Amino acid sequence: MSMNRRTVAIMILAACMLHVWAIRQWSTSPLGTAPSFRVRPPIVNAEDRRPFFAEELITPPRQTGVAHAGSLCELPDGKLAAVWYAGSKEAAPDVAVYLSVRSAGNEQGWSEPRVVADPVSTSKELGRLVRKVGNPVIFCDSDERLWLIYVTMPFGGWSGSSLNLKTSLDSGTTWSESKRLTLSPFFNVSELVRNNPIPLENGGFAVPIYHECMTVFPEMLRIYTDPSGRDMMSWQKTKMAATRGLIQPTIVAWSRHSATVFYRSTSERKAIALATTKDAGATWSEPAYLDLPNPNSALNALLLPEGRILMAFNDSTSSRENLRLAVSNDQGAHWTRIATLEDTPNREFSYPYMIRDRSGRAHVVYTWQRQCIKHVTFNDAWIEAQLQSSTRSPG
Amino acid sequence: MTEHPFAYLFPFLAAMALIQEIFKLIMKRSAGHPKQPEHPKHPEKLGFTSLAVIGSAMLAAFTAALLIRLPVNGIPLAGWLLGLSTNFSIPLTMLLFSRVWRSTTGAPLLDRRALRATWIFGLITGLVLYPQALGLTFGNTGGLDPYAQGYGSAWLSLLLLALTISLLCIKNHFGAVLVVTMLAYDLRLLESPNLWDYLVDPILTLISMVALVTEAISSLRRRYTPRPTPASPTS
Repeated sequence: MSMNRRTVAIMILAACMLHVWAIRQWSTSPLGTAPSFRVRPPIVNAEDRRPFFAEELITPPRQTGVAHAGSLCELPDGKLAAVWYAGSKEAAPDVAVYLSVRSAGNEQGWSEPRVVADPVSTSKELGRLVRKVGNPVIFCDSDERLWLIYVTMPFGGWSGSSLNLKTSLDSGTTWSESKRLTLSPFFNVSELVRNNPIPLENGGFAVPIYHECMTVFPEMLRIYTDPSGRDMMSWQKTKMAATRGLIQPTIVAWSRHSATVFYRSTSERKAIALATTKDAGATWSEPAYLDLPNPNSALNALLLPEGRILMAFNDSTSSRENLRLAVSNDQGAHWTRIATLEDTPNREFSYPYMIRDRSGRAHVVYTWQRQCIKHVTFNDAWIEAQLQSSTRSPG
Repeated sequence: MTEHPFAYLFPFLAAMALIQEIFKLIMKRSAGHPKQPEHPKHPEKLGFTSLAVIGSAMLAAFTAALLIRLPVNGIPLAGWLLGLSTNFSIPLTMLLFSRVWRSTTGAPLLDRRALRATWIFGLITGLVLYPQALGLTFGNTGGLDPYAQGYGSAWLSLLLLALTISLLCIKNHFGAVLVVTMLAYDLRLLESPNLWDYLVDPILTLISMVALVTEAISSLRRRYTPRPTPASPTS
């Protein structure tokens, strides 16, 4: 096929126009503007003054198999929705993502869990092979749309993971078909999700994710719906730390541009690491290790009133036998342990996930002995009482 | 079913290329037809043999279209390949299309210069991208993340435009491949919103590496293989 001068000229013109089009698409999309966090001060319920603490298992403990990696969000009507994965064992083909809803009243408790995503349905929706599903994260946007991001694997273990997205417009009763998120150029592996997203000013979310293939490192995903309302998604992913060995970032946003992130450590340094950003996650500082131990297990941080941070973590360098809460008054530099949620030898309590509801109460879900997901809730008065008690009796 | 039906083009072309190769083998082994049928050099004078070639290509296309939809364990056959990747790059797809085109028409779509440019591009971009993406090198490069630039970067776009124009000016057909790639990207034909996924994929990088090494070895052999000395004239 020959290329004469006219053909070359036409192609050069076409190339220029296509590149201008591409730059224009990008510059007019949410990705073309500098990001900023949408931060609302934590709700303070002045009437909720008496310390309150309650705990319950979302489902009866499984006699066989595992339940793990819970996530939680508040629905538009004030109910709570929890998701987790369960099956015969971690990363088994029969593992599915389950959803349960809790009404505001104490009587009804949690609904019977139902499957939201499994390998068969996801394969069918994506039109390709999916062998396993894993870690789900659920959250609600300002348009009352429910988002579910979850992990799938076509082959192998976590090293072959990709992320997928489902949305619901009716609080989880029905869901859209799964949509694959392409986040890596190398066969789209291996990306996983664990902790709470941070809402962004122009309608999207900054979702902390991480890479786990050959090496491990934390990343941030910015994801938006199409402003035209066609329900198409656009996204962008950036690395958070050049230091390897840190995963499962959990972010606390202070203002539109500043935030602190805490990392799980998979390296020989068994401690939680911290980093900060001043440009809404475009760049992050070099991680620094804290005086809080980490046995290579997930942790979660929650912003409290008056600039405090609440951390749920395994307070050990070697086991997940305990789960503790700690509070920081100086953006994570120093911590005071305030409560022990669990502490039983030879048992596992892990993967905490926290939110704050519209009444100002904190909710924590976590893996309870790999048999089910446990839900704990408490108010600011309880936190304050625990803090004062811990301060009076240090050690 | 994926939202991007264009993703099925690569499995379709792969199936068609495979079927065409099988047809060639069958025809070679058939008694009385040791040679390949002639391809239509003059389309305005299509003979029976030329029609047979076109007919076999259409049969291959039809068979490929059926084959990729064949369910295996509830998933279309194409879905098994798409489970590996739904973002086969445009240059890789064009390489496959070029092969199918050549099997159908006898004429190459991409000449040797274009192929070599494709391989060099595939190798260099792969070496820049994949170690970084897997975290094998970024710690040593100050956190530089070229893949992140693919979501929207003026400098990446200008660099690619400069390369495209340079190739077109020297009439290298890989320049046309890059134009097609940009068109596919602007139309978001693949699942990925990242330009890099349209430009390169690991299979293209692997093929490029093998092709360039093979070519280098062949070149060395030709250079160092002693030439037979011409026979001396007898007196």
